[in-house]
Amino acid sequence: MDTIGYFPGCSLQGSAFDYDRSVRALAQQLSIVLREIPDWVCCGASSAHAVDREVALCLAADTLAKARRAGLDEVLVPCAMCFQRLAAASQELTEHRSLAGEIAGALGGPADLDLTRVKAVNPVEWLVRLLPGTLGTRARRPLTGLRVACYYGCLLVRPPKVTRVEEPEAPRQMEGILKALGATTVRWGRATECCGASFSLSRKSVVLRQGLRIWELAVEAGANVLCVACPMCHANLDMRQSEFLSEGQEALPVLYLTQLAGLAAGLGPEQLGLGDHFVSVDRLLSTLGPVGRPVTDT
Amino acid sequence: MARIGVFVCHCGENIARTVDCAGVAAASLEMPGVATAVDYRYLCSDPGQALIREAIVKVGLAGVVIASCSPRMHEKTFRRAAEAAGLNPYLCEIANLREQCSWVHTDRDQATRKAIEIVRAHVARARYNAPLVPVRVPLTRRALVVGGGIAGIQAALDIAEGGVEVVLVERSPSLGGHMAQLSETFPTLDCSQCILTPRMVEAGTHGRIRLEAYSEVEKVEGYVGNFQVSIRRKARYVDPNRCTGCGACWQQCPMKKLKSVFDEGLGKRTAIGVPFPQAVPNKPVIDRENCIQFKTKKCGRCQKACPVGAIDFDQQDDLVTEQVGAIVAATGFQVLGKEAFPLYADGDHPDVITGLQFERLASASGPTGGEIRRPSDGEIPRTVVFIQCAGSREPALGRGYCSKICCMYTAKHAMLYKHKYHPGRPIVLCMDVRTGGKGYDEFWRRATEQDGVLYIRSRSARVYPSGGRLVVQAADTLLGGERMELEADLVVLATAMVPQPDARALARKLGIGYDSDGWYSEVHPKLRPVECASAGIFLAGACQGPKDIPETVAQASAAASKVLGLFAARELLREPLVSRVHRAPPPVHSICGGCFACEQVCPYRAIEREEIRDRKGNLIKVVARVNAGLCQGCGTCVAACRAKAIDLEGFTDEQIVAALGALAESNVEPAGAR
Amino acid sequence: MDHSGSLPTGTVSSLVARATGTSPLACYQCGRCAAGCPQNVAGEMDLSPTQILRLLQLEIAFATDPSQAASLQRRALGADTPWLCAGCQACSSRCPQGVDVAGVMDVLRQESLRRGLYSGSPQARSAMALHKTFMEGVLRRGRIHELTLVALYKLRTMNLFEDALLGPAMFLKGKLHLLPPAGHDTTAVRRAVESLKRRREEWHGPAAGEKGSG
Ligand SMILES: Cc1cc2nc3c(=O)[nH]c(=O)nc-3n(C[C@H](O)[C@H](O)[C@H](O)COP(=O)(O)OP(=O)(O)OC[C@H]3O[C@@H](n4cnc5c(N)ncnc54)[C@H](O)[C@@H]3O)c2cc1C
Ligand code: SF4
Ligand code: SF4
Repeated sequence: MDTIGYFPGCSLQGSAFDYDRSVRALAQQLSIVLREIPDWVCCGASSAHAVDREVALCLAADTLAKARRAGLDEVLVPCAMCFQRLAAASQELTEHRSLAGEIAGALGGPADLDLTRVKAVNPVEWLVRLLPGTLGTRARRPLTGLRVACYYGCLLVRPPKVTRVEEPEAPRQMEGILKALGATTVRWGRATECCGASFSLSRKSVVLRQGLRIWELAVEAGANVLCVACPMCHANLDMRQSEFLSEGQEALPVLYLTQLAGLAAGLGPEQLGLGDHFVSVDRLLSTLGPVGRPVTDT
Repeated sequence: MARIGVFVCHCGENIARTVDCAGVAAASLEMPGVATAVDYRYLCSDPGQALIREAIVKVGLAGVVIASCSPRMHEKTFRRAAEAAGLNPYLCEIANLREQCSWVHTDRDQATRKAIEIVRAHVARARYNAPLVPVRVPLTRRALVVGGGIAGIQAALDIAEGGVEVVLVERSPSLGGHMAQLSETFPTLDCSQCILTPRMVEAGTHGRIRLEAYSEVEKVEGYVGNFQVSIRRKARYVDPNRCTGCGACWQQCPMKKLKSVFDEGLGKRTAIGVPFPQAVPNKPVIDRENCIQFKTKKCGRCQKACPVGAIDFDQQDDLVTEQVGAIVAATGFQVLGKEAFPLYADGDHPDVITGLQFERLASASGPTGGEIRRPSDGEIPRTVVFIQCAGSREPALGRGYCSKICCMYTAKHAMLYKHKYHPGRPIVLCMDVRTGGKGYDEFWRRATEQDGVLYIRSRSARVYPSGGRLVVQAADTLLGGERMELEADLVVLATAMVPQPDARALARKLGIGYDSDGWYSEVHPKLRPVECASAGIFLAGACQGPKDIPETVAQASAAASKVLGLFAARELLREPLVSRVHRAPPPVHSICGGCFACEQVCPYRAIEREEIRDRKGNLIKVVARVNAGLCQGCGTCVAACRAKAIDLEGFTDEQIVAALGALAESNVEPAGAR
Repeated sequence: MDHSGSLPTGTVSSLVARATGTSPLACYQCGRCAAGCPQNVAGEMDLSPTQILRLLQLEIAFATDPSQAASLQRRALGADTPWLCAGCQACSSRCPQGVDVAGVMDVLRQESLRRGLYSGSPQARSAMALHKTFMEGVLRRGRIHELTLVALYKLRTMNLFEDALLGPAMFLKGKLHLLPPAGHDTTAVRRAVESLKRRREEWHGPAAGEKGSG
């Protein structure tokens, strides 16, 4: 059985517990062991680097250190924010190796602790990798009927040297996964526009405005579901949807990539935390067929 | 003892700012063999050269060392001055105090000390300089022009008119290059085809021009005056001698939906055909990739249709060798395609097009007959946004240069659109408008003042489709970056001019240089703009860097006149800095042992085998000999020769050892002494 | 082009160059960052990102004139823009000149706090309050407990009733956990931060600006 490190991060322990549930269920379904990093601390999110770059770096480095001490080289990070913070920290440490050594020491070692060895992996990369393997072979319920607008937002794609995305203006990885699982994907213009997450508490108008912009083009492109891979995007687009939509505008279910992949892999809605969305997913689920033959030819 | 004169140039302030030139001259006087040493503000000037000439005569100098700029700059000048005073020019030595000293240092003391060492080394080697005589080589009075765009056409015609035969090699099936695709041309808005096609016909029918269309240069050997060029004539599958260009074949071809390359993918073509009706030569080519006969052997309709039996599916490529004395590279450029711009509607939206595609839309012979219609649905766009600098001046995308022509052609496009569709709204996004040139600024002012084209000073951040139109995100930087979300029906990208994809490969075949972007390098950007560092090869047109038609034509004519100038001589004189194999009187003949290691390493194939025979004709030994015409003086053979039988004239072991010795002996302060 | 080495000490621009690896002088004012910035497009910012870069360029040019430089610094550091930046990095990943505009915003926030120049406007205050609350929480407990964060933030900004209706709904969906999880030790992190800060000062001298700012 494959093992990968796991960093759920604060959101997945709070409001995004459904995301956490879906990642864990999917991993189990695909016979992958998630080893949670012992005693991890917050990645620093958007606040640390905004006001104190040393704190930002050291918080992320602490997680990398704990992962290494646990013998892990790769850590699955479902939250896009955590992913970007950890990946940015490894990038910075790789560019300044002496700094990496120094911080490793200050974090309590041991002497051979190599912080640059740990790689943060996001669910998109993870599933792209699993598609030709277990995900492909174990998918038993084609996602037919789903017309998905894949929403990447900011942190999964930018800055490209950190996120390793070749085409930050026109990413296609989620589309690749979902198409292979039987869904249709739509082309639309705001897949990488910011949802305003960092203002969800301090300046709600920003989130509502951005949410509406995203909803508009996704619906115009004919989507019946938005796919996300970030708890903040999910909160803003799902939880706040009724706030930014007006009378007569039709609600658009917002699902995590791991929830969609989980459905294709034959998991039930409850196992994937789908019962706890603000925008109802019932109608969407009814379009899905039964669990049956493999959906991909891999 | 040699009587050597040292002349230290200030180069105005260039050298004198960091080097104490008088101090260098004074120190030189102490060096062994130096008979006189002076410094002067501009040695290259007329009085400066007179100073050198006078000293040679008055002091009776046997050699001079000019401590000045790089030999690339003025070696010729100073050698000529020495020659005028009766000295063999190769007894004049250049010590580079500018590029290798004053320009790269700031500390005056250190720079002065380094300058003295440089002079010391050159004085030491000058003591061993020998008088040399230029090598005479015969000359083939024929020229090769590679590339049949307007640059190649112009160069070929000018050379031919000068009485010299030209081989004109064009890779594509027809002459014309990009200019054939253009609609109307700035700054006068005359029709491109109307001014180009007569020139194409002229070049295609000229008695002294051998047109090799649909051909490529395969290999180049030899040197200035004596190149052997092999040319691959690609199989057209049509016998050009029989074909009359009647067009019966392509009317019958069932593959009618192929994308026209000439129309930049906006129009259709067949698998056999000419790229455009005015093609020269007017003979079709079969596109093997898309021909049904080649794929399944189940067609051959063109063959049946041809009244003269010119179709030949078994035709093969054909190699010919041409002897020429000079080569003009005129291979032009490419433009980036829209797929290079994911930022602009993912790089694959039908209504985001390149400037070159717009030319096809605006051209009377284009796929829309000259009407501006958007590719997605053929509608006439109500708003067109033109985005300048797409991929130019964008170091983050790997290109820092300005493509130079886009400001002008974008103004032209905006005007043409407005002229063709009066209610239309043309908007140009630019960083600035660069319209240097005669009548150029007036041209774009006309676009704004008379035709009401709106210029917004902004790069676009993104273009995305919405509501059947395209949204162009921009900001008005003149208003401090105020938002501008422009709705457009068509977006035209002025995409960067880039070198041909095979430009570097061809450069290596020709043995010429290119810059980091891939544009061909001239010897000197100001004073020798059309010559390559390899003698006998010249540059014309956009292969050397972005250019418009007037500049291209001017450069092509300049290259032609350089070729004619070269051919005006009876034979060529070449620098005598070539290798020489040791020869001695019998019975030694030569210390060359005949191992021919040199032959293995010589990149120019200049090593020949010489048989030494006695009077009766009996073979004594075989030794190496250098063909002075082929030798480029690189010295590789010298290093390879274990018998030390080869020396490079002007760079003999003796000279180099003397220079190194002088450096080693000199009173160099230990590191850190200061 | 990397000009980061040559900027006058004491300028905000020199800190920008050090933190982001590119000098503000690289910006050629094309406006692409402003054009794609969601917050600028929405008209939230008082200065566009392009203008911020321009102020920094002027700061470099006038660095030898202390009163000019100080007034330019006050404008850049006192702008609301950095506090309204969403950190989306659209600007940085698109800048044709490779300027890390979002990184510039980070430096401006940090410097405006350090020099006490941050704009006192409500929008800057609320953004700063959130960051502060968040950071205190993280450094104290190691992880963020959403409900505590919200409560503390609302206390700090005295904005007690916004979103009051969302809380119960979230609770019903199981999305709000009332009890914070157990605390996690952050002494190692804090130690590393201190050592890192010390090291950076040794390298670059005390954070510039302390002497230069007005
Ligand atoms: C959209 C657009 C609009 C323009 N509008 C104007 C205008 O209005 N006015 C103006 O003055 N200029 C204009 N120009 C510029 C003009 O097109 C160029 O200045 C001109 O085409 C340069 O000519 P060239 O012969 O150097 O290159 P090209 O036109 O590129 O010709 C090069 C030729 O060499 C051939 N070739 C390439 N490699 C090889 C090889 N290895 N072997 C053999 N053959 C080879 C090619 O097939 C081609 O035929 C415009 C350019 C563009 C892109
Ligand atoms: S995108 Fe870059 S170059 Fe353009 S204005 Fe912004 S920072 Fe300056
Ligand atoms: S990172 Fe900030 S400044 Fe840059 S585009 Fe996003 S919101 Fe605007």
